[in-house]
Amino acid sequence: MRAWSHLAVLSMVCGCARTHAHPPVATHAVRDGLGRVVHVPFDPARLISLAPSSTEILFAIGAGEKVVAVDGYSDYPPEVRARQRIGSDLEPSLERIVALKPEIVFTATSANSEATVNALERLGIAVFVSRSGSLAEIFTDIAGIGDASNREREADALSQKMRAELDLIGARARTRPPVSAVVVVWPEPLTVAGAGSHVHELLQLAGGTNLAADSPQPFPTYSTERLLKRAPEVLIIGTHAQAAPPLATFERLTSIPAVQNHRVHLIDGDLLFRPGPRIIEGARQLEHLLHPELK
Amino acid sequence: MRGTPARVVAVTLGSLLILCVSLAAAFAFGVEHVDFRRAFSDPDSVDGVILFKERMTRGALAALVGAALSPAGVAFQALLRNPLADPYVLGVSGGAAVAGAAAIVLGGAAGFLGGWDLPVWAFFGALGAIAIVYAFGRVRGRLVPNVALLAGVVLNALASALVLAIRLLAEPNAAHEAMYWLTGNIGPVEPSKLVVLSVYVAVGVIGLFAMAVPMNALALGDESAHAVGIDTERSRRLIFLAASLLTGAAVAFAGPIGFVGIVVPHVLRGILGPDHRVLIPASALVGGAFVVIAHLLARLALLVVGRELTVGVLTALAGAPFFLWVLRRRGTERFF
Repeated sequence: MRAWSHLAVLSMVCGCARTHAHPPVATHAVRDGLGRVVHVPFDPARLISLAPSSTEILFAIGAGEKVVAVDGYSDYPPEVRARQRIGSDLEPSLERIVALKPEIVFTATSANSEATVNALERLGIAVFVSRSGSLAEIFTDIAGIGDASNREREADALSQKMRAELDLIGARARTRPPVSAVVVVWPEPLTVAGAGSHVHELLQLAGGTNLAADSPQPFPTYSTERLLKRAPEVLIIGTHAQAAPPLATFERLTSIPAVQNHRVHLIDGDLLFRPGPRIIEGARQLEHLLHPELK
Repeated sequence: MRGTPARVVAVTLGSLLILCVSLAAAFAFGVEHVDFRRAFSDPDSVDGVILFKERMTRGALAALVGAALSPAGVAFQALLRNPLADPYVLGVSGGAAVAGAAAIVLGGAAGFLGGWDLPVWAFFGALGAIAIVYAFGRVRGRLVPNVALLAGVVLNALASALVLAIRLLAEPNAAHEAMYWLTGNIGPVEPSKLVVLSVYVAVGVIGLFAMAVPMNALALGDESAHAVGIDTERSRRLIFLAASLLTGAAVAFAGPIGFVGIVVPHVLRGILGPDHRVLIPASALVGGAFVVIAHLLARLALLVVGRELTVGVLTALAGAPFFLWVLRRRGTERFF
């Protein structure tokens, strides 16, 4: 195995033909988020995650102890901090990944580049790519990651638990009139959650009406004039890396009901924007902010 | 030249009219329709907030930024006797970019000035770059244009390397924010910042206008300037200082917006001739109008999808082909 990986590195350095070494163990085929067929060992013991959302899913389905290394932005659950880090920028260290001899590397379109995926595959490493745009895709991801990491039943249980929670939140919200809202991803340039994102689905489910739903993109930049015209009752602003964005940008927009009624709220962006198991907590907090009278 | 004061007044008034018309257009048009009667009768209504807090503050910022960058471009072109000179050629934008990107990326650590972090850091970054260029641009105590120009080019190259390093090492969120600022943007701005910027712009433009006669002489070369009794060294220093202050202030509030300092001066020189007494006030007002219109177009370009471009992207997209067209029409004509 060691000699084989050295050979792979050598072939990459020389840019010669790809090495298609025969996998040492029996594999089975799984389908990743892009719909590609990936051949992975039946019970892989060494996993690497290069996306915070994949890391959270792996730990939530009990595959955490198999994770040998993660990317620099994976910060949840707390046990992740004990894992080795592979780069903290867009370009993970391929050398270090090869040296760790992973059986599967988990990546996500939201966190990694296609070049990284291709480079890893040229080295003969199985790469599972997650693509999360909608809630349905998050559930597909969980199932796929469970399938690949031999934690199928746990993945199934997690999905069922998440679905039940979302149903509960939805049922509660349907008893109340919907509250118009906009979820701000970035204050400047003003970037919001549009119709093409799971954030939109969570917002609608938690009893909100997404006023930015006319934008088909997941996270479009948005005109401040349009935000003023739409006049949301609640403004929800996602924080990033625990840094609170300046609220002064919104406080000057005094004609917006959310500003008048002090309903401009911060929410931990990782709960909302990271397509993993914690979107349930994100949905709960959304519900609470939209309908404080419930509970 | 007889009749110059009258010409200065006439051209200045004409330019002021252009600025007023463009500002009126920027207030009248936008992404959403505004009911002006309601805006004026109830400034707290949606229409009032859009007009007064959104369009007017950003329009004023656009006008001030253009009014700073265009005369600075005129001044640097005269000072360096180089038609390629723009307000950023002496490293001002590089210094501001490094300091501004650092302020964005350090965020909380640098955040003891509240909303003033970015402009203050960027302004002092610009001043730092100017001090370095000034120190290296002098030979035996005299500011030598070509040496200063080279020092500026090298400093800008160093700065872009530093900015790239900062962006690579920063959190993706901060890197994204820094990149956005570096494209040049007329963002939302508090009135207090507009007051500070307008003081800088007024002082800088008046300072350059006072140096218009020495600029005319310098553009012809040192011997000619000496012959008409101009202290070239002192003039250069003052022009350098005023133009740098203008550029630093503009970059601090709007990031490095390109092309304003090169397109507007060249077009105006083609129409009005080389007299800086006419060019400085005209370029301030028309430069303001240019950025106001560019900002309006940037807001409206992607109206269908409800999104906005940054003004820096638009000035480059519109400015570059326009400038090439001007070059083609003027052919090998002298620039000065």
